Amino acid sequence: MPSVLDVPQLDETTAEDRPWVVIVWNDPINLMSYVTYVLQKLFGYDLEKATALMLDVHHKGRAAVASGTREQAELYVFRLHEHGLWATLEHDE
Amino acid sequence: MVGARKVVTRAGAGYTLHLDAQERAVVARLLGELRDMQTDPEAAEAVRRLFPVVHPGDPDQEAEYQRLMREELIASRAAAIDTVVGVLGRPGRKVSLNEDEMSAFVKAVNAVRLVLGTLLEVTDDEDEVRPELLESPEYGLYGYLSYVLDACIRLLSADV
Repeated sequence: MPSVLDVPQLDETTAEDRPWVVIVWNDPINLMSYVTYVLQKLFGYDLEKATALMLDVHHKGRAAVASGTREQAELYVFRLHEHGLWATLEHDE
Repeated sequence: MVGARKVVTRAGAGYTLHLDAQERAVVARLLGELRDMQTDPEAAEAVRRLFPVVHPGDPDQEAEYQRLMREELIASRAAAIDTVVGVLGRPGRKVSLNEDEMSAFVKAVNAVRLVLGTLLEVTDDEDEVRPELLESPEYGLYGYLSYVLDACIRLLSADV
């Protein structure tokens, strides 16, 4: 029976499709108001969401602020660095 | 140091910075130093916060990212600095900025704060700054720039 051939090869696609996650880390220099402002400006988040993410960064040490393809995520990180935020990338498991 | 005064106000579609000639000269000087420090190997430690590691667990990906993007980040920051230095050098008692110039101003001022904060070893706990650093000119500048930036952000946040 040839039906096995029709089964999608999930393992081959998932590694590429797993999103890249943009992490912002707490640092003692950036003002809380500034972090909130940058998250609103770059990602279009409303004040409530941007403030919640900023507080996560401040209290938990880090927060995932966006995700996407590697290209998208690297662009987000670049723009965060332009604004002086401490941002890194993680490839979601 | 600066007291409770208006640092920035809205002016039509733009903004007005209320910085006197001496303040403008100090900010412009700091920005000029920052522009040079970005590419000075001897200043690498002082500016490390301006160039975070992007792929902390993967040296190959990190090298590739920095190869592609570091120069672009330096150029972007230098462009913001040049914009602001140009604005601060305009004649007149007030400094008028359009939206893009204000965006460049907050980015550039924050970049100087990151370098000063690194040099001052600023932590989350203000009491942990070493006493001799609290008396330093750098600490005074750091506090002043924090005050100016916070005033700008209060105004900008209402627009986002």
